[in-house]
Amino acid sequence: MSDRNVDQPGQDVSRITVAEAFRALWDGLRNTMGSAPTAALLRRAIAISRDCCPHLAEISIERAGRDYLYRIPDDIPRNEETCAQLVRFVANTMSLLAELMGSVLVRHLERDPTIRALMQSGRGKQHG
Amino acid sequence: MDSTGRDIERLRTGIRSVDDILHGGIPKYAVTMVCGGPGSGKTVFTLQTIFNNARQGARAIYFTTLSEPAPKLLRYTRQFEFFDEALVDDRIKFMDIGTSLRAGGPQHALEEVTRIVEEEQPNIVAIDSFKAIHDLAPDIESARLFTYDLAAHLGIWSVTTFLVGEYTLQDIATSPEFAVADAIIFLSQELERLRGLREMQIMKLRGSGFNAGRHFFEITGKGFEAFPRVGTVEEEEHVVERKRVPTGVPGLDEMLHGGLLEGSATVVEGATGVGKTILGMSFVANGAEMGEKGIIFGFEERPAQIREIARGLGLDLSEENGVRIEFINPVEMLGPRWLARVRDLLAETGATRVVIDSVSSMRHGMLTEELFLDLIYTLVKMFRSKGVTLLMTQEIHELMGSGVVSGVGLSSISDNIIIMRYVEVESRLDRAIAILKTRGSGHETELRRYSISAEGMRVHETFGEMCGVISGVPTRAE
Repeated sequence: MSDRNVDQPGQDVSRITVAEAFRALWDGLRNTMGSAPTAALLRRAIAISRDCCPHLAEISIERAGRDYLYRIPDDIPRNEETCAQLVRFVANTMSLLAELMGSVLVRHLERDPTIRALMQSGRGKQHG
Repeated sequence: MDSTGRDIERLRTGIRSVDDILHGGIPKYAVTMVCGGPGSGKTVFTLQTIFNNARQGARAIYFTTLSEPAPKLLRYTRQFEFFDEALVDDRIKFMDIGTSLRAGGPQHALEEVTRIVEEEQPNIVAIDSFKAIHDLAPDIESARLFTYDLAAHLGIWSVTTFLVGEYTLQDIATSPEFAVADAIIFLSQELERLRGLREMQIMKLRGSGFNAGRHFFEITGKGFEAFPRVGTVEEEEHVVERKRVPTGVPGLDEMLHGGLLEGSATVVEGATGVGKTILGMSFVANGAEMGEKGIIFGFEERPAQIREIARGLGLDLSEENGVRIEFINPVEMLGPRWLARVRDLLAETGATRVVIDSVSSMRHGMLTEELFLDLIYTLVKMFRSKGVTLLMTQEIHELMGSGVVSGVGLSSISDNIIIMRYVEVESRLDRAIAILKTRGSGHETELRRYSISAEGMRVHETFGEMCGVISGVPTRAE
C-alpha cells in the first residue's frame, strides 16, 4: 500500500516549495480529470488568487502540442510570505473544486501529504 | 432533481415550454449543441435564451464565426420581443472570431475564445457557427481535441456553452463534438401536406431527464415557443365527487339519471344537422345559468354564428354570461399548440364545462389518426384531472341507420356515448336519441323522440310499439 493512503504526521509547511505543491496539485488532478480540465482549473485558481497570492500570479499554463505544460518562474522567493500565499492558493483551489464538482476530488487530493499539510495549515489559520 | 434525489443547478432558457421539456432547464456549465439546417431556428433559440438570462443578471458573449456576421444578426434579432438593446454591450457582447479563424485556423480561434472567457468571465457563451470551426479542422482527431479542450475549459470556468451549427442528423453520429457535448438540441422544419412544421428534439441531456420525442415549435414576433409533445405533460388526478352535471335538455337528464358525471367525457354522435351542436350549446348554456363558466371550441362555426343560433333557441352564450367561444381553423390545426391554448384558457376562465364541436373536423387537421387519438386521450385526461366535464360532437356519414359508433379509439377513450339519429316514421323525418354507454353510472336504455324548436331541444317519449328505430326505418311491432 502506498504511504499516501496512511494518515501521517503533518508535514512542515514551511519546507514545501511552490514547485512541490504545484506538482502535487497538477499530478493529483491530471490523473483524475485529464490535462485539459486540470489546466483550466489551475488557470482559474491562479486568476482567482491573483490579488492574495501575487508571488504565484506568474505561473503559466499553456498548451504544448496535444498536451498542457506549466512553468513556474525561477524568481519566486522562498520565504514565509510565499508559504502563506501557497496555503491560500491551495485553499482557493479546493473551494473552486468543491464548488464545481463536490467534495470527492477534494478528499482525493487531501490524501497527498503535501496538499494535506497545506490544507491543514489553511484550516488552522482560519480557526486561529 | 436527478435520480439520486440531488438537485442539479440549471440554467433556464426562459422559454417556459422548453424548460418543461428539459425538466427545468439545461444543467449549468454544460455544453449544448444547438443544431439543425439553415433557417431551423437555432440562432433565435440561443439568442432568446441569452437575452432571457441577461435580464436576470447573467453576462454572455456571443461569438460569431463564418456564418452570420454580427451586424446582420443584430438587425434581425431586434425584431423579436425578447430583444433588449440596453443589454447589448452591457451584459451581452457580440464578438467576431471569424478573422482569427481565417488567420490561424480553429486552434487559434479557440485559444482566443478561452483568453476572452478568462478576461470577461461570462456566465454564458455561444459560438455560432461552431460547424464552421469544425469544417476548418485539418482532421477529425484535431476536431475532437479542440472541442474537448474547449468544453473542459468553459465548464471549469463556470460557463454554460451553446455551440450552434448547421449539423444534420447524420453528423450527430459521426462528429466528435456530439460525443463531447452534454446536451444536444436538434431543430428541423418539414413540409407536411402544404404546411411547414417546425420540430424540436432533445437527443441528449447529461445529468437530467427530459421529455423525449419530437415537439412542435413556432417562431413568431415573440420568439421561440415550443409545444410539448401530446402526452408528455402529466396531470394530477382530480378527486371527483361524482356530482351530476345536467345537460339542460329536458328529458335527457332523466335518461342520464340526473346528468353526466362531473369530469367525464361524452361523445355525441350523429349525422349532419341532427342537433349535436345544439345539445352542446344547451349543455354550456345550462352551466352558465348556474354560474358555471364554459368554453365552446368550434372547428366548424365562428363564435358569431354559434351565438346567433343559440339566441334563436333562447340560449345565452354571451361572454357576459361566462361563455367563451373559440374558433379553430382545422387547416391550421397543430395539436400540441392547441392543447397549450386549451390549458391556458382553462386556467384563465376557470371553465367547468367544455364542448368540442366537432372532433370530426378536428381530425381533419391532424397528421395521423394516432396523433388525433393521442390528443383526445390527453384532453380527456386533462379535463378529468381538473374536474371539467367534456362534451364532444362527432359526425357520422350515414343520414340514417345505426352508423359506425365513433371509431374504436374514440369510443373507448370517452366515458359516455349519446347517439342522435334521423328516423323515418310514417313518411315523416323524426329524430331519435339514445344513450349507448355511461361509464360508472346507470342510464335509461330506450330510444326516445326529441325535438328542436325556438324553445330549444327537448327529449320526449319513446317510440312506443315501433321497433327497428335504430335502423332508421322502424316498423310497428306485430
